[in-house]
Amino acid sequence: MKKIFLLAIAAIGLFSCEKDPDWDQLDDNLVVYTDHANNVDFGEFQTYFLPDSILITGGTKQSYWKDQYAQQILKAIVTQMHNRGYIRIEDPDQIELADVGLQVSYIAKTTQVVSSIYWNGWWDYGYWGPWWGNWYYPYPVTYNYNTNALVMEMVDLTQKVDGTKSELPVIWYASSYGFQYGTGNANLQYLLEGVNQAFEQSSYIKCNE
Amino acid sequence: MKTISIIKKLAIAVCGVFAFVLPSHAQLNPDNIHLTIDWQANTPSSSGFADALGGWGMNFEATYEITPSFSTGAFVNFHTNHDYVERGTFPLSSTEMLTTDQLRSAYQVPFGLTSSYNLYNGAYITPYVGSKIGAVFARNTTYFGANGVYDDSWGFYMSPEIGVKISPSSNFNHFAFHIAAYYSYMTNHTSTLSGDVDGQSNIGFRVGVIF
Repeated sequence: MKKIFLLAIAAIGLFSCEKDPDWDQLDDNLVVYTDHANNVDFGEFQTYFLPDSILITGGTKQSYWKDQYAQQILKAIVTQMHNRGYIRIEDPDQIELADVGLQVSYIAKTTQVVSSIYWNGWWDYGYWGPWWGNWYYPYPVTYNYNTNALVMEMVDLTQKVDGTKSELPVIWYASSYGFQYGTGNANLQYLLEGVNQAFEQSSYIKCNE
Repeated sequence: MKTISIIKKLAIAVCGVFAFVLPSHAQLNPDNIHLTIDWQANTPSSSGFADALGGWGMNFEATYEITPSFSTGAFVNFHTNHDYVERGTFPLSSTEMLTTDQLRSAYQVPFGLTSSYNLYNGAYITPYVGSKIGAVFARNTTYFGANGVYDDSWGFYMSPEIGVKISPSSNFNHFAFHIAAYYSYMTNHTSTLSGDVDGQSNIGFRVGVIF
């Protein structure tokens, strides 16, 4: 009977024994993802247009981000495009001269978690004795975390056909996303690194000149 | 359906073994029933996924001494291995690239039939060889940024082992320490981000007690 009891205790503990990793090992940098249309020769383009603001989206209404932080992000994009041989069209009245357009969007999100179920937390229930199983909250517990993403999209403006309204193809997509660390310089640095990394891993974006 | 089929075959095999063995021992001697509880250290050795040595695992066995040298019974164990992968850039497809660091986590729960044969029945030291065979549930997870992706799978499990039972007294039936080294192979297939696993070997050791 004693042996059966011991085995039963062991079996109860078995299926809650998956150990979580040490999350602190992950660095704070943003995850950078890029994709592109594989039938496009980016070397054929020479000029581009970049708006002077960043679209803030993801909420109930959209707005435009134009402050000094936004300008630093746009400046980083301009530097990258310049280094790859593209010429910027700055006057909105000459937008039709641009071969490609770059649209930049920013998405900030707060995720709120309400939980009253079992929580795989930091304290092992075994600490309080073998007679306790998993622990739980008998009342709802809430916590939240903030994430953000910067999205860059390149659209091909050379495919227009006069007199018709065509769909605008997005030929390059880049997103840098991860946890948001406030709204100041620290978070800005992560966004800027995300911009640079997106171009770094998109070596095909280069003007033939 | 494939998973159910494996489990069904395993259950039939276990029942077959006991049906063969038990009629000749209709009178079960409680002194011949043993429980083994081990702490174990394990490292996946062939897949490159979460292949750092980890000590977050335990092994449980319930066995019956059919003869003084041969025991058989059931086992279940669990283990989690973690590994950190430095930030890097890798392709997801011919046009997609991803840059991130990763935390990889490999969780496995094998269970099934275990048997062992004593090479020498000493008063204090009993070396043995053994094997385990059964099914295994595996969950491989890759955490990156604020996200994580996991893949669950079932597979077939086999594991030869060598070990020794160390009794502090000459009466082996009451209590002994247990040390074992093992190799295992599981047929599970999982795919998470850049860490695909198609069959996995493990090596490890166990330290525990036998009641």
